[in-house]
Amino acid sequence: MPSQKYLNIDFYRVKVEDKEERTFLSLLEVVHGMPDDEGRAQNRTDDAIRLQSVKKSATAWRGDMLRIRMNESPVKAKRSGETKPIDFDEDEGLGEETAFMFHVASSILVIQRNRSGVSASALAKYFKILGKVKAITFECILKEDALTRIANMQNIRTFEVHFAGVQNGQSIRGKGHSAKAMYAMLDEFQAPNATIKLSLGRKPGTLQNVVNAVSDLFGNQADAQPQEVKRVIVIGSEGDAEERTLIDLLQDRLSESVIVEVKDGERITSAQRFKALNSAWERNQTYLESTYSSPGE
Amino acid sequence: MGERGERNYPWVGGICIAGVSLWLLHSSTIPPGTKDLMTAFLNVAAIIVGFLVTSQSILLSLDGKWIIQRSKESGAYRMLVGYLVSATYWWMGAALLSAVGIALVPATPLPGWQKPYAVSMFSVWVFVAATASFAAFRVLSIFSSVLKSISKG
Repeated sequence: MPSQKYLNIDFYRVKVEDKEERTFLSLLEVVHGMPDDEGRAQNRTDDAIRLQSVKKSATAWRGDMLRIRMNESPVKAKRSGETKPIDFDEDEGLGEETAFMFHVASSILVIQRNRSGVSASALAKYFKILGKVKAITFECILKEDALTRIANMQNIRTFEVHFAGVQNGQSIRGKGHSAKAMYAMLDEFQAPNATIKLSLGRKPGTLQNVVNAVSDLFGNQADAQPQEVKRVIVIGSEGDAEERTLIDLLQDRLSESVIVEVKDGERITSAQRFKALNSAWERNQTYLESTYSSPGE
Repeated sequence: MGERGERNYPWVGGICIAGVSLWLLHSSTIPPGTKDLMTAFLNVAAIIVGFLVTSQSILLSLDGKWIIQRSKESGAYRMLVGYLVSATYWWMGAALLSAVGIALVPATPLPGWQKPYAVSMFSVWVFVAATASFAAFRVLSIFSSVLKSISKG
């Protein structure tokens, strides 16, 4: 009997910083052009990631990233409790696939959110290293209604970032801070919640300012917001109205959930994952193309 | 200031001050009143060693506090304890050197051939005394942050 699973899909605008002004598409071409062997893998501390497959079309590139977990030695287990080790060769590990789609005209990357697969930040780093560029940034994309509401704001009055109180000191360990600085940081975040509030006065706020702020805040960690950040709020007013409009940029980030039917004992197939990506893209295609595609493309 | 700066500034500061002392005195002799200075310093050292040992006990009694728990996870607590122990040793060393200095510095002016040795020994004492002072300041500064944080609740 088939069961239903949810595939979460995220959207990012890709920006590449490079002396030769190469685009993400050219990086995809470079990596895709490499021999399909170990050279295409990026070794990390506990695993390796690689571009597994790519399918090109006129408008988009669809591909699979593969994360190979090398550090774990799992066992085969029965319900009765009987276990057997799984033998791996030295260069083998458990593979986890992550599907992505890069829409060329809008430079938008649609990627499956897969905790045990390749994260968006890992994908950015992979192409940065193999493509030998200075930086790749994945900018969050806001939902259409949030974007419209921000665009309608005549004045953006404040920009607030709410942090949860620190519950564990591990997050500042081993980062080269002095003991005094660490105590100061802990003291700062001792309260259950801390807030950074930027007051922008009555200067007309631009959409770009907000986009830049969000981009700076999350950078390449866009796939996994810092755990301490709980809310990112833009407060402004429409026209001369005194009534304030409040937008939470974390909740209003564009992402989609697509239901996939999976037969018992089977994995989600590559075709199903790409179909889910397409479905997520099609739901937002008009908005994304009209907002982000370059004229004439 | 980062972790490395905080760890090393007491002895780096001590070397600088001892170097200046050596440079100022190299053509003359140890300053008059050195014996009195060392006597006074010995008294201060005894008080500060007592204060530092008490601080260690206070720190242990704060074990259940939120900031202490978090600082243990972050490594700041281990650093603070290290600084406390290090400051205690430096002040004990300063006390010991002061006691030796009091015994060795004669009441009468030094003969000419002894002057370079006396200046060198004095500079060593200046190094230890200055390093101990910086080490105590480092502990006091961090410890006051901890106490302020606890007092806020």
